[in-house]
Amino acid sequence: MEVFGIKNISYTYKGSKNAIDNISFNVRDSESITIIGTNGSGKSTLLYLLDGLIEPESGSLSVFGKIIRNGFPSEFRQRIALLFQNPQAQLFSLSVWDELSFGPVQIGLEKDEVAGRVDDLLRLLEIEHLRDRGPWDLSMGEMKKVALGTCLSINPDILLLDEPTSGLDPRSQVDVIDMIQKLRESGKTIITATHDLALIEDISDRTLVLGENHNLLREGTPHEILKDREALLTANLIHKHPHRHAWFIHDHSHYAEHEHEHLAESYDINNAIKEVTGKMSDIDKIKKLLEHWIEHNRSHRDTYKEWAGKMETLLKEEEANILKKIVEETGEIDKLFLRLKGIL
Amino acid sequence: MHIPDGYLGPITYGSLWAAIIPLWVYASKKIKETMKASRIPLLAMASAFSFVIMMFNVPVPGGTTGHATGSTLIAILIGPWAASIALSIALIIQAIAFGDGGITAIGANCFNIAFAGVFGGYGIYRLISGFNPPSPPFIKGGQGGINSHLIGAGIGAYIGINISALLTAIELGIQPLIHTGADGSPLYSPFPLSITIPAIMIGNLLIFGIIEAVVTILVLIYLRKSHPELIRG
Amino acid sequence: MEIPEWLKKQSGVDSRQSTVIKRPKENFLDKTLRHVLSFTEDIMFNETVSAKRGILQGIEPRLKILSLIIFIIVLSLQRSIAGILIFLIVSLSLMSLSGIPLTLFLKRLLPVFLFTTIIAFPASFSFIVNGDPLLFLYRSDAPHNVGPIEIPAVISLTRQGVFSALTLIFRVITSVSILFLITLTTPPNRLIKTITYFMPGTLKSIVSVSYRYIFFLVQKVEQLIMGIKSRSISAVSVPVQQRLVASRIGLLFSLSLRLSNDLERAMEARGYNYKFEVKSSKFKVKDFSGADTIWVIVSIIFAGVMLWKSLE
Repeated sequence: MEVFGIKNISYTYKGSKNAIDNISFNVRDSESITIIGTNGSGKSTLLYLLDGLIEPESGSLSVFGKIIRNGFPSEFRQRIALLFQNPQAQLFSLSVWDELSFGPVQIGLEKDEVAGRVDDLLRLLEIEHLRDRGPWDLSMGEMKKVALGTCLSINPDILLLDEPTSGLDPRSQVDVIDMIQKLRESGKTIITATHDLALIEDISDRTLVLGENHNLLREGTPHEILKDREALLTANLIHKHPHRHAWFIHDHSHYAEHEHEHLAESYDINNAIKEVTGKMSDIDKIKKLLEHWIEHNRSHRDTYKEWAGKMETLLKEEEANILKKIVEETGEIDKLFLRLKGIL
Repeated sequence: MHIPDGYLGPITYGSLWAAIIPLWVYASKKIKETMKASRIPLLAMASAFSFVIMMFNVPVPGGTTGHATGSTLIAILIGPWAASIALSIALIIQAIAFGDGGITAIGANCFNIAFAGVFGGYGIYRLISGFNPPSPPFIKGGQGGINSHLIGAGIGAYIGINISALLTAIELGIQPLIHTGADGSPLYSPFPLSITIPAIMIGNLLIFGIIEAVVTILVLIYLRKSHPELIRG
Repeated sequence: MEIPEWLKKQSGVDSRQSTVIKRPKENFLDKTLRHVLSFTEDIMFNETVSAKRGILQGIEPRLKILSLIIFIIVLSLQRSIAGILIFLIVSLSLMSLSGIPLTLFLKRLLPVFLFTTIIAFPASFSFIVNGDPLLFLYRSDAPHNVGPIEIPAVISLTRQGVFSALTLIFRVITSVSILFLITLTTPPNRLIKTITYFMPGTLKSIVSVSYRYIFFLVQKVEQLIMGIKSRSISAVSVPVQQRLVASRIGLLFSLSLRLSNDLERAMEARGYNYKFEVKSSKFKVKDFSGADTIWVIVSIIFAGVMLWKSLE
């Protein structure tokens, strides 16, 4: 059964930023889809449209076979949950427990059942210790877990996930990806927006590539997409100058924020790498990671500088200043890396 | 409740400009004394915050909604003088850059909302909570415990906004008395006090005052939980 | 880590019946989102329109804004409808000379016009502004009471009343139209820069920083409200709704606070030494073009004549 039917949808408010330009695709029940694109390509906007938070200016959207004309029927909110990129947006209660019970109470569950669900979620997400904390008190990663918990608490049929792994530490990233896989197996429809190419094979059957012009560039299996260098270059998802790490652990990428040339290379190489790295000890891994961190720390410094300049031309002085501060700090971090390397 | 251009005659808006300018000068002096210069960004943020707070729609029982101005809330959080300046800046930006509220009436609007409203509300709050402020920003200590803060803040917010509204009503209502043409016809707002006062006050006493009080109290409760370093009971 | 059984099930919600035939009444969340949207649209609109070419776009912004504000002040001194109409005509002509389509302008003006008309209309009657009757609507021998309301003996349209209602309507829409001339012909960023030019040192920087943060905070508001909307399944009670809004306002305050702390540190890092000032260039006669000079002369003459006429 088709759960989303999107036909020629456009959304242009705010001018070119965050817009959607004439996009069509369908999503079937229990399908798992990833939407990839750079920041500002319109991934989040697309998810907002699917969650009925904004309405398309043209084109038609059907959800569960119903054409949406006058806003979302409230039952749909019980069947569709959205994880915001910034989880802060959706956390508004005074404690984590209240946060997780908000949904179940709203759908009319009995007290015991509500408490049961909340306990299950606290265990599932390994956040039992946060139970009585206020959402403002949490780290980014913890907030993301709680926000995911609120999405799951109503047992939706469709999960819309906006950058579910960004801002998480590597272990939590792996946990979240495992969870997405399990939810897939249990028949949930999952649509994930991400700019982490390393993720798409693990969690989706089909990938949509959004271009920087807010249009749909390509659609295909993750494997096909990763092989399509041209589409990825057009979408600005990979850099032209390649850099590679022969040791790269490709199981779940630790480096969500930048893309790797070899992703577009064949699979088998990656699997071979996995084999090798699988046998590495943690000490070896951290050494490799350190090399990677050092290499990137330096190349990122240039990117920060470049963006500080861009921000300045946009009259965004504060942003520019913070970036400049970061540039200064990278020198410090570099020293720390080298110190650690020395010890190891 | 911002008065647009055209409703107030030159004598009225002129004298309110004359009243507000020395207040601004004095407030800046006060801020320099009580606030470290490095806290200037706080003033800018507070002003942006007071601009944006008006965008939040707040429901009240019975299906109506309205918005809060946050004047007493901001005064409690960053001190009344800083709040006055922050709110004035927000009103000026609103008038010139967004065409909301008149240019000639900036003096009047700032006087009513950013001064009378702020100090009225804050004064009541101080009176009820009975606390002596340390250097603003932020509430510390207090003799009556947190509840007297909250009650004081709520009543202060309610009265503060009603003071602003009453002043607005009076300023509009005196127009037909002081500005008339040769044949006795009003040149600016034509309604007498007997109409402007009830017309403006009913909504404020029944709806907007309550919204202001509720928002002020609930936000303070939230901030006390989330930022215990700012507010201590 | 095993997924609990209840989460493996289907939601069991039947959507076959659910369609929204009529758009539901917008709730507090929708209203806030609409404010945010119209704010963003207004700015976008001003940005697009102010990029057009025309007379006012070519004038030095400081001169333009100063002269148009003087126009608004002189307009406020006018005592006749004719005097006000001259300003309206000037304003509309400047609008078309600046390449702003009249229809677009009138569309912007319409809400103000309707609002002012509704307010001004009752002033035409004798029970608000008494005076020479133009048209009798109701007459009886003596005032009498219907419930608590006293009905006067005579209700009529009065000359003075109609005059004052028209004066109010025209004055308000003319003032707003001149204000629109400023916002529609000056890009928003430039406008704020120009306003701060006329402000003393520290205030300059506070205003320009504040303006920039307004946009940041407005975007946050949108996110924060969408966050609630996406999780609203059934209607919650009014007190809960109030708590939700208050938590967002509180969160916004703490975000503002964090940002201002960041900014303080950034200033320190840049070696501002707490003297946080934006420098603006001085008014120099040589910076002004021929068009600027003509504009200044024409404006002074126009404002002068209208001022003199109003004092007569």
